[in-house]
Amino acid sequence: MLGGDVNGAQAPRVLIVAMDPGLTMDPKPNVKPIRQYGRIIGLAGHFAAEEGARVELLTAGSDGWDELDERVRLHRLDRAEAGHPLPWLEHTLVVRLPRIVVLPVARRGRRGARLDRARITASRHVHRRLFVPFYRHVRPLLLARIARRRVLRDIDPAGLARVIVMDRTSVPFARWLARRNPGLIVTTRQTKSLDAEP
Amino acid sequence: MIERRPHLLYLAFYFPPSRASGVFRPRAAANRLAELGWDVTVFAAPLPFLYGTLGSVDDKLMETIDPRITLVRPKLNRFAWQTDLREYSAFRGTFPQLAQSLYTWGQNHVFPEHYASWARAAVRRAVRMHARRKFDVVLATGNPFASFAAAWLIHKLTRTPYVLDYRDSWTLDQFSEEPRYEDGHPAWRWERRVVESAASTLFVNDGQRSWHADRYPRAAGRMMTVLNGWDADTLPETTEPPPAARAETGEHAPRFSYVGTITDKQPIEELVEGFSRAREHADMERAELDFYGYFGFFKGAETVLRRRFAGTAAGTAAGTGDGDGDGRVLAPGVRYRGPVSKTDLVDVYRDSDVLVFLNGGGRYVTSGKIFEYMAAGRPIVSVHAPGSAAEELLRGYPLWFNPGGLEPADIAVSMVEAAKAAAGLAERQVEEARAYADRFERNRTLEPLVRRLTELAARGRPAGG
Repeated sequence: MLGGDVNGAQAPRVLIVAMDPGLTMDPKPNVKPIRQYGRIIGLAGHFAAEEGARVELLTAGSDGWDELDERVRLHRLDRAEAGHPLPWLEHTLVVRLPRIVVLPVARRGRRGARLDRARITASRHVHRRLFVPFYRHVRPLLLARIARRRVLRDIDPAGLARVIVMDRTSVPFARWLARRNPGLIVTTRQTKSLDAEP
Repeated sequence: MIERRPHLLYLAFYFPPSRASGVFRPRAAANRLAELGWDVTVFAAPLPFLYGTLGSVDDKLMETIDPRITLVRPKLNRFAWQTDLREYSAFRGTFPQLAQSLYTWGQNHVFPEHYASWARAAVRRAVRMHARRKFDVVLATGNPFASFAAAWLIHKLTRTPYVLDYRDSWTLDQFSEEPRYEDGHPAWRWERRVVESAASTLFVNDGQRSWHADRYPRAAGRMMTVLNGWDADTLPETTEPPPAARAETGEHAPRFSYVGTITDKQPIEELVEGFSRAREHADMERAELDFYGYFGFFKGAETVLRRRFAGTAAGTAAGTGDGDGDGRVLAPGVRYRGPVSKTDLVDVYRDSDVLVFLNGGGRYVTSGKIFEYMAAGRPIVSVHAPGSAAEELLRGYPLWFNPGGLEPADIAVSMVEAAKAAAGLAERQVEEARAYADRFERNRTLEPLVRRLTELAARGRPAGG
């Protein structure tokens, strides 16, 4: 049971879904990553401190949470995502294997070093130009699947007052929550109020 | 032989029950044309968008629409406004990045406005209706400017002439007076296309007309200015002197009023500071400044605007409700009275001594409210930057008090003078003021538009009807 008790009354519970806090999947993000992190941390902190809510933050962002209000409960999916066969396979084929192939010559003089740099550049290009444009469409579904399996053990959606969606990558999971819980408010509106319209 | 009534298609996205400031011109034009025997079909915004998304409606305005007008509400894809995930389509809910990419592509390559889907639906409906009964002319008003594109496409498909009515400018930022878009933006291409093919293009002031004439010289000869005006159905036929002139000397506290939408473009701080200084004057201690209208055009603007009032009056009773606890006090002596339906404005004007013309724009912004202010026959204090397009109109108004700029001390002087003038106004002076305003009665200002539409409709119809 996660719902806290404040002076004998059940504290409202808010779920903030920020699967991609760095907005790495957006081709042209509207805000800088640092500002997006600031928004998420500010919103979570507001609900925890000002509204007396129990706040759950669901994210696949690995770091940048040092300033998060300590009352906010963080659920990280980054490790589970890294272990998923699709990103694991991509990382293996695009980064690990070329590294292993180049490794024997990488430490042999300037030519080896140059080859290793070329290998890094090529891996980065393949990742950014080929994999990310494809993965940004798949990642929301993949993370939704992971979240459904892992997080719902800890969060009871029936007790939530509000679900706030911070980025597009979070949409499939949040929409799934909305469909499963007809009365639940699931919104992209970042209004700092528990009673605001969806 | 019975003469066929001319048939107008009016593309007016903002139309009652919307309360946007842009609805009054289409409302008046549609009513006027219906009264003159036209069959008017208005294509307007869908109701779920007005009630659910914008939340800015005035149901009483619907009662002022001529029942002979046919009202059609083509669909609008609310993609850009959807915040409730339950409203997302299955496609967007499953592939949000792909849905966004496709939407953005449409904005960049098809039409650069969120209302484009409404325009597409409007064209489909118009072509179907045209096949059943021919439209003689299309009149499109913007914003949104997707209505211009719809008029252009209807013209291409049916050869129906169209007239564009710029209530606001599209590619010119009226407030900064700079182009709104960078070179190469699709809005420029679209504007050239729609303006150059239009039978006429209308603007609300000469400043806007000449800016567009310079940009599109091939269409300059077909550009006209059609001023806004005041609506006779919302104001009485005659006006009486203000309450200050009717009260016993020394008994009456001067009442200043602002009527209209309060926006972030307006010089709120200068007005509040000026009014505060005016209240230091002996006869003005009990003066009140009332704001009637909405905060902003959309939901969510209120907090920011209230903060600006409160910021100006920091350290005073502002925002505390001055003891009444309802948050209606914006600053000392400054009260927010809330929105008033257009149909109930007559009482507000009757009970005001002086009207405050708070305007954020320069030479390209007239503000439709100024016509109503003049028709109310009250002293008007200008609070706007020098060079506003409204100055041209106010220059002939006998009860205009112009501080000449936004210096609070000058605003205070004008307010004190206006209050004094209000207290001494005779019936004859009010009548003179009203007589000046009568030239801006809406049906009169719409005359050039009605003439042009009549010419265009006559061209496409066989002689004798």
